[in-house]
Amino acid sequence: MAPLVKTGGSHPRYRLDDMIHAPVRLSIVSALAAADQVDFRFLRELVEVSDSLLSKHMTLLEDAGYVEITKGYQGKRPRTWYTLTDAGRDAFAAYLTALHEIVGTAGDQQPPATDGRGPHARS
Amino acid sequence: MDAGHDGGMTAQAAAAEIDRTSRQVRRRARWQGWLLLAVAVADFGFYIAVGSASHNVSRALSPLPLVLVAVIFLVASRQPVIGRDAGRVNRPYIVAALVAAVAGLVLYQTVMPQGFSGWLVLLAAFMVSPFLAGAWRWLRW
Repeated sequence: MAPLVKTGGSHPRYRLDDMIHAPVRLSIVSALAAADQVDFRFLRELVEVSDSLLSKHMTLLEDAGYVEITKGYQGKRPRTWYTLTDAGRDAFAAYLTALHEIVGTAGDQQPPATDGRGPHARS
Repeated sequence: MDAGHDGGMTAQAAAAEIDRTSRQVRRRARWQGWLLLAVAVADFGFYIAVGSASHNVSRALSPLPLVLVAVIFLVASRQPVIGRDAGRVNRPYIVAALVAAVAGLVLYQTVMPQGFSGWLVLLAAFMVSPFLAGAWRWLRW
């Protein structure tokens, strides 16, 4: 299947948020959507990117108003926590809706892997 | 998925990645269930020990819940993931555990036979049941 390209129109792919529909940021946002808070180290290992690349994407998401960054200390060790904002959750919900429509219109050829909760799985 | 390249991806790939990440995050958030289970076991032992021991021993054991609370905060502060709506999810179990503790204490002081008995085991199980329910909630998530 060809990558999803947005050029404007009524197809659900035109509703896919560019800020989310990018591999690294999609991993980040979907991870944050499943939790209240996630720390930097766990996210870096989950997404499998370097510190600098993760920081770059987090800054983009923060600038878009999708992520809130909290910095603190655990003892003497600095820790950074990430939280998806309400705007980020709304954007991700809209993204999931569009994605679900696309996967649905693709028929039963290649159903996405799920753990029984489907791509809309959220707590 | 390329770590540094944010090019296009298929809907199936996006759905699979969402599934993978959310599953891993949920798995890491289950520590709250294990913690509540540990609290239930520790509390159960505490209630049995305090209920069966002599007055002096009971008094010596009385600071243990404070130690347990400190351990809970220490463990919680070191976790990398806080589960979705953790505060809202945990609140009813914690309130129920406090109510059960007070009710259990009143029952023990008023109608229960003093010292170790089957009733004490039942009462202790009742007092920790909210923690067990909370653990079940998180571990099945």
